[in-house]
Amino acid sequence: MHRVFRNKTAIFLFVAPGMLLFALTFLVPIIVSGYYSFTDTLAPGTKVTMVGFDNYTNLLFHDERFWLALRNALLLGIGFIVIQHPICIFFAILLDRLGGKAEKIFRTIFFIPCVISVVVISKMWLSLLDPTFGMLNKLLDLVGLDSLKHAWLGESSTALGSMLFILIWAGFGWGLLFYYAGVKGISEDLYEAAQLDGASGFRMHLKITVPLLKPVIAVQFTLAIITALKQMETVFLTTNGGPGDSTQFLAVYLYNKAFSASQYGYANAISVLFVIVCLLATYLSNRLTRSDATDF
Amino acid sequence: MIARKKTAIWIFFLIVAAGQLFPLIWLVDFSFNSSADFYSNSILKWPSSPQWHNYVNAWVDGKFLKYLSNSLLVSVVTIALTVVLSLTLSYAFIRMQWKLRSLFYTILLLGIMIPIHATLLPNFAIFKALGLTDSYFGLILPYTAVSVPLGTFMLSGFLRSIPKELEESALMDGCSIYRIVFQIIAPLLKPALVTVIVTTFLNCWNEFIMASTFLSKDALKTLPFSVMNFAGQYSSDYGSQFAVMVLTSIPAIIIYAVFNEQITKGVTAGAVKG
Amino acid sequence: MKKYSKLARASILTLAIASVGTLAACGSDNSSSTSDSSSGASGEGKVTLRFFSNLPDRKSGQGLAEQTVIDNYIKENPNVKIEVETLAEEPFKNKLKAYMSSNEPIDITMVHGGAELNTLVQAGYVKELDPKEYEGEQYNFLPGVYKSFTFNDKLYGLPRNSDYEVIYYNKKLFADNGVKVPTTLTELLDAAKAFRDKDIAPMSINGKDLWSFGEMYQNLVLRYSGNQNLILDAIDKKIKFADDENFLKAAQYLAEVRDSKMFQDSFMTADYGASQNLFTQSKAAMWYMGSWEAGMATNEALPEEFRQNLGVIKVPVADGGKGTADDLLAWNGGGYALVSSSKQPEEAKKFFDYLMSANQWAKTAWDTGAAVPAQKYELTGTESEVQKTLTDILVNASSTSGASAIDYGTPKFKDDIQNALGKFFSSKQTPEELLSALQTAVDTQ
Repeated sequence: MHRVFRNKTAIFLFVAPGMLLFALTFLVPIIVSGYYSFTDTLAPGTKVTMVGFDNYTNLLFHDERFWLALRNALLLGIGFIVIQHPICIFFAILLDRLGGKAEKIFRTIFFIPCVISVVVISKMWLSLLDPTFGMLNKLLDLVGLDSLKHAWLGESSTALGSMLFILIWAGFGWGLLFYYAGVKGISEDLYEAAQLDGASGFRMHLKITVPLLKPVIAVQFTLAIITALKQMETVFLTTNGGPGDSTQFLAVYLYNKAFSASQYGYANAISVLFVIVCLLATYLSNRLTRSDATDF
Repeated sequence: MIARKKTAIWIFFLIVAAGQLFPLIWLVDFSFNSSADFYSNSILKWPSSPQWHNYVNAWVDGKFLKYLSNSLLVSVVTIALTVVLSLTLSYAFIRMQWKLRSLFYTILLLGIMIPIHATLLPNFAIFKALGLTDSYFGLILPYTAVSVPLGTFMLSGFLRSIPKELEESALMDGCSIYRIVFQIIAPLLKPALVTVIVTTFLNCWNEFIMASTFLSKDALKTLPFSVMNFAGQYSSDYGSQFAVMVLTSIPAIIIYAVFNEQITKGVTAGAVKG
Repeated sequence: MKKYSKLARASILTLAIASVGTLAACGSDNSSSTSDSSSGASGEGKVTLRFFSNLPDRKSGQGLAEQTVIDNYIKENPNVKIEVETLAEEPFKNKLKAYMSSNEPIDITMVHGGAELNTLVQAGYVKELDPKEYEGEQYNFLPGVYKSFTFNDKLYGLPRNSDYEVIYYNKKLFADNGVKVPTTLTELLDAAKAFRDKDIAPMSINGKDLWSFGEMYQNLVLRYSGNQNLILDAIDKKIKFADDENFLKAAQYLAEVRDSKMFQDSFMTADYGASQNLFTQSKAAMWYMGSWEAGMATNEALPEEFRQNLGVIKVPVADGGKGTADDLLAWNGGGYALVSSSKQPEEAKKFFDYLMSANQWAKTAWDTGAAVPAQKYELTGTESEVQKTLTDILVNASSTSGASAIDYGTPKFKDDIQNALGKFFSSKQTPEELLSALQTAVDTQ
């Protein structure tokens, strides 16, 4: 190895700015959060009393809203994995089969929702899912299924499902693109060989495509869990965790605890646990989907 | 046989695409209607007289041009910083030899997992202490910080797949390490760089929680924030609210249309090799 | 004049009822008049003041009134520039907390009295005011209006309005459907049923924001018990929710409201603007809101037909309840405060005093029909009918509460109690379960 690759000045210049910025926006705040999580302060600048692990014991043993937020994230993550990803894989395979100009056109169309701002998406879906004037209920009326009408985001029983639907609509393009890229990387010869063996259609893809997509699936699996855990903006702008905590998520909960309830110390304890949960989830899902192709 | 199958896929996709784009069509449709029409019984409503003044409201009172140029400025600088930092970081992590590199690499990648909302409040206090709130940099720096871990991850994956021979022969010719990174490696990474650019663009173009927390000067505000602001100002006028939402979405769609090919290429190249 | 005497009676009544009755108008003018403020600033360089408000709509209602006063001040003080930052209600509250935590040097901010302001006071973010300075005719504050702005006997802000809960209704919808305008809670349920049968949302409410539920519950407790202090005592832990049957009766009525679908279908996702739009577009027969929305009657952005049919009623009485229709859930919620970290405290105070002068905010807000001020105002004779009715409701009040229950405890209490009510309205919880949730919120505050 050339000595240039050990050039200390270059390494410093390459690494320092990025790491410094990273420390400033991630590490220092987490340390600050860690400090406040042991206090009962109302907000920065008010009286600080150390309360030891009180916030943590309250959170873990007495706060059902915290666990509800975690449960919702888990359900959302499962929803992504069980519903969104199979659909994406299915569409990626079809798109690949289609070929030609149409392939390009549909690829472009399917991605469009991904470039729309989350503020627009949230406000739009809030209107679309309005129980009286929204498009969905009007459609159900039109086809005579008015018994299925709901106040989609406003009822505890349908709110989380509706949220999942919105997020799948908004995130479909990304999932599709990644799987599509994966499918494109599979050599045509493999399919031809399989066809010679008599395999075809659905079974062929189950046997060849899906296993070969494993590395992509592994990364996407982890990303789905993280996305579910980090869910914030869409919830914040549509239901704000309601009705009755049925769409409560950690980020929304901690935001409201810090701002509306003025429980800054408590909110910081949520932050710290939040970070730990996210790291743990990543670690676990990596272990679960471990494959040689990923070193994430 | 194959042709028939393709036609079937074609029709199926057409239906799905229509379903997928319908909400957006709905949005555009109602942006030409008055508030009262929103409460009517029809699913789509062709306005008897298109309410162009909704767009006038959105353009003038939504201060569209100002917010658009702010968004552009913030996005462009963020992208530039993210590209440079991710490039140098990934190069140092993958190619250079130093003691703590795998530790630093792991720490940096944690940034993908750490939720930004968990650090929002202390962040605000820190940026405030550094005098960075209420300036373009108050947004650019956190946006860059959030984008760099993912960017580094994507570039690292790609960089591993590039053979070292090129750099070694460049070294023989007496190239400096800096020229190698920026003039030899960077062009090779182009597909991955495009992906980094696009994801960074979409992230900071659409971000609003930090924008609304960190900025207070109206002159600095970005587009997603203007939607929020406008909704307060025109709370009784759905038509104008929808108009500002349509206007806000157009630039991103145009940029996407222009770079569409590159994005797919970038992701395809990245995913296969990463 | 008859009208003026009504107002005088209002002042006396509020004085008698409000617990902090310290400030009777004394008539002596001991502070500088507004014309002085312009001369005082002359000779200095440019001054830029930062003003933070929760009224993003600057073209109608209170936002217009606020902007008018600001424009007046700038006209009189050409060397002063006022930078106005506005956000809608919920983002406003969050942003103010962010400002507080970083000690942002804004000069004047809108504040919510009670729990919200208390946090700002504890962080030392808002300045103490000397109540003596605001005595007299220049300000003309009604007696007892400082209650939610006073902590440990110190004053930290001035109220901008007299806030009280009423029900706005659409006369045409009631007439066209042959529904009686309710005067009792039973009639209110009947009205709800009648409108439901006709596929009209009976009552619009901003359920996403949750706080209206709290006001409604306080109002119901008042209607059943006739005792303004009952719920406040419960929050002070002097009594328990299980001790007085009126708490349960009020909760039972809430359950009936819920089960009869009195609120619009989308009530749990409706924020302030959405609930208002439903009503102003004549898609809901009633809107549960407060006196601060008087401006609807004169807001030309709203449909003409709606404005002509806008009416306002007192919250109906309970059958067999001890409360009367004239027991008013009234308090002073919104107001303004000076920020401690202001970089030009003197200039800031000068504008603050100007803003709070009776002939500025109070007069402008009343004359434009935006709100009912917390200061004495003169009737001009050109008031909208809604304004007149609102004045009558205040003037005829036989008791006022002085505090809104949800803002009476800590911010955590507010969050918990609102969450409990949100859960109640989005599930099948029993009234008893609601009471025990409320009790928990009190006990853990």
